[in-house]
Amino acid sequence: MIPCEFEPLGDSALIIRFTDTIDDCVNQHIHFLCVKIEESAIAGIIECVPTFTCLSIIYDPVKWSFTELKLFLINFLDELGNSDREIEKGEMVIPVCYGEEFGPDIDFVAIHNHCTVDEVIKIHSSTVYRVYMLGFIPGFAHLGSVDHRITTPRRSSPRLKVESGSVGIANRQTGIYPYASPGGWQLIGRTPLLLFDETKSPPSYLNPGDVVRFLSIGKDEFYRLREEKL
Amino acid sequence: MINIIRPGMLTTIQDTGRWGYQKYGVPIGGAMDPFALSIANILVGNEPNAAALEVTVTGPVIELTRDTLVAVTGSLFCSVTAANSPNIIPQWKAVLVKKGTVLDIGKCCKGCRGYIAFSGGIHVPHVLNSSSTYLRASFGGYEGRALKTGDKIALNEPSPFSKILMDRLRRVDPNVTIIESNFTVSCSIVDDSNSTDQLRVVPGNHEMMFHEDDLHLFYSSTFKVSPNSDRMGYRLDGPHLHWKASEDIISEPTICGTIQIPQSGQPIVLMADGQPTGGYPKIANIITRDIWRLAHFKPGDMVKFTPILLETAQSLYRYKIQELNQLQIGVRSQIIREES
Repeated sequence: MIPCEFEPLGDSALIIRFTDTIDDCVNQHIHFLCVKIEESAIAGIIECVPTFTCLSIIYDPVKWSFTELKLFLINFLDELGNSDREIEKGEMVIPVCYGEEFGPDIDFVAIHNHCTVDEVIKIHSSTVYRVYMLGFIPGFAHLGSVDHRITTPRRSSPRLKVESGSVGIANRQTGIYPYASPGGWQLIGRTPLLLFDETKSPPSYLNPGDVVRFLSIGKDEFYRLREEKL
Repeated sequence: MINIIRPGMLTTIQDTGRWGYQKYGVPIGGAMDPFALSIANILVGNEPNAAALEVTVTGPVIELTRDTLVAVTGSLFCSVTAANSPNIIPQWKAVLVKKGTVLDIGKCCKGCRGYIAFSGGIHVPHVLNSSSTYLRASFGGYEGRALKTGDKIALNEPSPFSKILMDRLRRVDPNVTIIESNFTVSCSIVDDSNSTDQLRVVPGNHEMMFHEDDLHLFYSSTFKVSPNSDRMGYRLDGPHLHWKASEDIISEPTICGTIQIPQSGQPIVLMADGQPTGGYPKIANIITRDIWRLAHFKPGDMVKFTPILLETAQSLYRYKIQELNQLQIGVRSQIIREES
């Protein structure tokens, strides 16, 4: 069992903290736990929110006090200790048209890392990522980890409008804007896929814990796929 | 049906929230003052979580196209009136509004968010299990946006309780447009909405990221609500609060009422449409029992934070829920008793 700490988050949620750094193995454990707790449909537990380093449990204070729920969860985690902790995840492939007007910051990423644009594309699309968490805006997947050869800090001044489907890099993370929004990530390309659709359940194309790879496509393919989506 | 003649400053459709989708980055949303929304619903015979109108600062002018029970709660309005009726319509009370009547909700004179519930509740397509309008992502409610002049909003079939009450009130006087029910909520519930600038909090899980002096400053200072406050978050102006370390933390869960301190040192309180995760240290969390109170604060209003024990916060919440349950039982038995 991975050691953890329990912290109250206000009076109707608690946080189970596993680590203070981003760790692939610990993050997978967090997603595993999230699935297990939700599958158990425990009365008074409303929902779970997995993030990089911790899992929050939203509960009904009418049914649970913090101390009662903490004791219950310690026991729950103990019992899970010996069970199979693998969740089968298929690989999600995200087609991306890199560079030019779709990736206005790709030259900056290349210059910052002393490499060529083609190398940025090759490295970014040959890495296998995991969805560490969704957040910032609905359906925004935080993927890690970006190969150290192309990591780039956020832009010093964020853009007021980033187009929907834009793929960006921020340090060791890469992510996709599910719809137009202000944003500060370095934009390197754009996907024609619709990543968030509130009329579907789940609403997000990518789910917490998913395995993701990017596939470099040309402009013709981009427009063809986008037509199909509409 | 409700016809929107004038929408007011920012009128949206809200219920008690969109639970279960925070892991996809979707905020809970819903009414900023969920207790007022629930009370309005209970008064007109709806379930407490039915969809109703949330009004901000200036209320709408609306026309009802069928006989409808209406209850106005939340902030105190200067005067709620009906065309062709000399009397001011009371708040925190169900009134039968006859078909074709135009209601003018007017301005808030105390607090800044009001709720208008209608018998049957508002009918809009559910998006992710909720009728709440989420303005930032433009979904839910009425086309994902604030109401405009000319919008026509459908209502669901009234509950058996609403129907009994409507029939009885119709018999009181068939010739007037507005008829008041003979019950209201206890003053303790209403008075509570007009109370102090003190908001009770429980300690945040990043208290240790602040120096003792800054924590003391946080609890001893009065903060001013910034004009840059909305359904997502309230920004507060006051003394600068400093972190011990200089770096942001890794994004982690937040919740409605979380008080974050960004590098600027000015607190941000996450409200109904706040994101489920955030990367700023959390100094404290407003208790669920009190968060609705902040929803009635306007830019320029002053707030202070008082720490209480987590156990006390949870007891206060349980007591409030019990009060609402009792109110629902009370209203329903009142309706049935008078009929028999």
